[in-house]
Amino acid sequence: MTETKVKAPFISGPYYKEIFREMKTIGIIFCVLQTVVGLLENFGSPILALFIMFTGTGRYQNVMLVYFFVAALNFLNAYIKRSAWDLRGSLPLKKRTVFASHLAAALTWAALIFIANYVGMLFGELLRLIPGVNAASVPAGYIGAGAALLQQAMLGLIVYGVITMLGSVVNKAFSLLIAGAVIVLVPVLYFGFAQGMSTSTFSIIEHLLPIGLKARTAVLTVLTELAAAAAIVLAYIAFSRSQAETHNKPARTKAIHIAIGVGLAALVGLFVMRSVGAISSVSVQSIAQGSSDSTGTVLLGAIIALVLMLISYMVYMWVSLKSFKKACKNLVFLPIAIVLIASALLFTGFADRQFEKLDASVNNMDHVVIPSGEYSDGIVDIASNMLFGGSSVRRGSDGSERVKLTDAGLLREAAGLLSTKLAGSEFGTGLAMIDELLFGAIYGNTRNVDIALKNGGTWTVNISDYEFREKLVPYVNDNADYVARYTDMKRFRGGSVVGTDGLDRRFAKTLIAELESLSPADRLEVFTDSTSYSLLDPYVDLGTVSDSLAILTLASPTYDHVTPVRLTEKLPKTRLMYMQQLSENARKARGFDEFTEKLKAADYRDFYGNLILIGGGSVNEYNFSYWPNDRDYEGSYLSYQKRISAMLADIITENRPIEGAEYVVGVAINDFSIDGLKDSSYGRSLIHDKTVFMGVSRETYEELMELFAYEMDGGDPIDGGSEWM
Amino acid sequence: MIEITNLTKGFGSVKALDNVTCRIDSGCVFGMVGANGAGKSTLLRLLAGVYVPDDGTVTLDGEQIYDNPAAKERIMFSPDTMRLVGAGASLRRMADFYAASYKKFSYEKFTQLSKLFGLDPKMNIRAMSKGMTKQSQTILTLSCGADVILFDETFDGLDPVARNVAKKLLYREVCDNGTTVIVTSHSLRELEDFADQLAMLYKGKIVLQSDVEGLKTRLFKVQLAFEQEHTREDFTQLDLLSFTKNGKVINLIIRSDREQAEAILNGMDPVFMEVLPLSLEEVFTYEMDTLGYKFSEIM
Repeated sequence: MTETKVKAPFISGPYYKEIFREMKTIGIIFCVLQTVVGLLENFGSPILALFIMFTGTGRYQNVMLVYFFVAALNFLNAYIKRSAWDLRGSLPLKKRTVFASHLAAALTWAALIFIANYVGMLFGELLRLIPGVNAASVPAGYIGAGAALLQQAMLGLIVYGVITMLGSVVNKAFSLLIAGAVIVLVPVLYFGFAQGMSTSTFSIIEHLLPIGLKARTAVLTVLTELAAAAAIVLAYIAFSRSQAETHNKPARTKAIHIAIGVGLAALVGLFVMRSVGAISSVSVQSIAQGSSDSTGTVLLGAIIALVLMLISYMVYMWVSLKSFKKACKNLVFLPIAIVLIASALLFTGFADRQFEKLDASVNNMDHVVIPSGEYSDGIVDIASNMLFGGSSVRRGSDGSERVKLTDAGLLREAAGLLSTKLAGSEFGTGLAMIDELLFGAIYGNTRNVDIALKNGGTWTVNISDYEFREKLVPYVNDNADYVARYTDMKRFRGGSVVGTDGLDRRFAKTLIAELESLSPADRLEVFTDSTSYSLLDPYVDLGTVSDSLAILTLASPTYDHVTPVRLTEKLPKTRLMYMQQLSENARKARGFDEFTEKLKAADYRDFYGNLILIGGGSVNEYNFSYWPNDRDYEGSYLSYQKRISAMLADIITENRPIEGAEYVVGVAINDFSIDGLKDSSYGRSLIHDKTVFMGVSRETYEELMELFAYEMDGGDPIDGGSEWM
Repeated sequence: MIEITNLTKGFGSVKALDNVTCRIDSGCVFGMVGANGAGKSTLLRLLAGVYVPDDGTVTLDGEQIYDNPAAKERIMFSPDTMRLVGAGASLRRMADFYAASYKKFSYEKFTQLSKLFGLDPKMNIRAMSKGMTKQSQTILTLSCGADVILFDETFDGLDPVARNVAKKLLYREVCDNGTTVIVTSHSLRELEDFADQLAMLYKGKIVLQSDVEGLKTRLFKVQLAFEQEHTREDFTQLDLLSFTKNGKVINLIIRSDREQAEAILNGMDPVFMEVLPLSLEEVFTYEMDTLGYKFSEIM
């Protein structure tokens, strides 16, 4: 039949509105979900931390991705089913208008979901203003969250495009499922097989794009966008040409049907060959070298793969065509699957050859770039905060990651790191890889370093945080240009200090002003991430923070840039404000006066806390735990505890101002319980986790230093009890 | 005017329509009868532009219908089972759905018809009885303001009162607006007093097509008796489709001009003669017999 050329709008306004309305339930559900996600991005949540642990993904913006999946199913339900097409197919609309209108409606809801995320984030920000609300984590950056959502939307469009395209060309649910599995899994297994057969310790993707982490990420982002556009265009064409009445055939055309069968066979073959390669560590190189073990394994694997490919292909053809005879006739196409599998080895060969050419000698090192990780992605902070009580620490800035570091010492270290990588990175294999996958994002204990070679390519090496700090940081910090860019304050202007109870913008302003008055080198000292290891690694004792009172997180106005700032003596005004605010919060807390009285009389059961002694240019912090009424202990020790209690109570009651004081004492109350009333009269919302600072005389300061230093050095107050009496 | 020319549509090895040619004039009620699988619904879907022809053409006033919004705007398809936009869709919701695509959709007519059938537009259609659902579908179909209305088994499930109301409404559409109504049914009786034109489909072909009045007046039954014996050969002047004799009483089925036939028979001097009208089913039975089909197999 010759088709009449008819002019029709690309999108039908009324039909777009109709579909928007039809998708209302789906849209509202996902808007609510995304609002909750946006809200939670402001707070620590064990659920989210667990989610990130078990999914291994760095983000939890997948609501958007799932939305597009559901929107695609909604499309299939509306148009692909023959019964549904009676309703839609008779409407006075061209198919292409139907597709475009549905897509436009789906995208409108996606835009609303995008906005819902920000509504949640803003609402979360309002909640964070309420004193006492746990807001210790860094919220996701506003721009970063938007970028993440857009990236998820791109992936979502690929999913939407693939599903609607398959639905338009594949008619039977059975074939649709197989086709879906083929499209999703064949590329993964194809490159997985190519990777598995390679001896390179770099990924195939990196061999294809040896341009450094940032550039590669950008290229892959663009490729994702192109793939999304291609998927939508293909789906548009496929749907425009689809026919409701081909429901009795497995696919619209024979070629598509054969492609599904071949894809299934390839999927099975790739899976078997990939598994054989992974189990026996066979590589193209070992086969080429004539290893009899390798050849035997490969032969056995190939035979098993061929048999399973044949079976899967025949079963699919037989079931879909309902005729064994017709299935047999289609066997001639099976070799395409074998050719497809074999072609993966081309990538292996390419990667291996490039890998062999990699020269890790110092002379071949051109420069090093430290990719910035400063963009806040929320979840990492939430997870680390929830699980380990620390804030994620990043290094670098947009500016610093453009600095090409060429210090000779640094290049020497880079050559060493690359050599290690070429020999087989500990992070690339076995359990270490699983550990890294599961926990790397949370601990933040690995970093990427881009090493540019003179003979071509910029290669990304993943190293431990410890290696980074020990081997590279000293050189990096000597680079004035790097330090100046790294500590550039422009991005933090108008920003805030995250998650510090009761400290308002005034505090952030003071901090930013003080930071701006410092030299880049001094700023680097307070910006530095040298404490990050102890804060983030759960296996390392948190210990004492030797020269800083606290680590604050300074964030840009949109939270997209964050940096830890150590509250050292280089920031006196901020430090004073911080101590005053904390003290004010503690003294305002209900039960504080009663706490002081009980402390004075040593009328309590347990007191766990920290003593912070500031004076003489240093900060010392001691953990303590007292139980002055526990008769299981010797009287001398209990008397000592009572004396300390009374002493601390006196200091707290006297409450000398800290402004202008040469010596300052801080008492952090972690847990204070009265006998029989544990955690009731002094619940966590009252005085627990409160810290109070007071000025003290030099004598008091020294006495406390002596007492606590003795205790911390291992002095046993029971043995040496007489000293305290 | 709808023109169907050499239309063929197959589903795999099954040919649902085989080289069908037919013309349907504007402003008439065109009935299609046939057993299950005869091709009625497939033909309607081709007319509605839901299916694309494998071969041949379907045009409305010279325009192809498939994927042609301008032509489809003038056609409203009411399938055998009502499809909804959502599980909880009400009649009003469905009205909004059609109004989004049919520019001529009239909410005024929709409200009038809803009142006429006594249906609450806010009621969930899933909660309606089969008859109420059919009524809902009729209301929506008529509200779209289409020039051609395609009804697939519409009267199935309607009670006699609702059926008559629906038929009257359709008549009004045909008379007032020149609407063409194409309706399918398993039952000839259903269409007997309703359709202007009738087509019978059998295994994907139109085996018989005619205007109803013509069919019914051209074919009639005569019951008569003579004093002397008569055999079939005595009636060669008439186009006899059937001759049966029971004692003295002879039953004739004649395809002819009625007055002319009566004159010939009166000339044979019968002692008793009565001309009886045939039901449409009887007409079809005899016509199909002459075409070599067994009517009982077709219907």
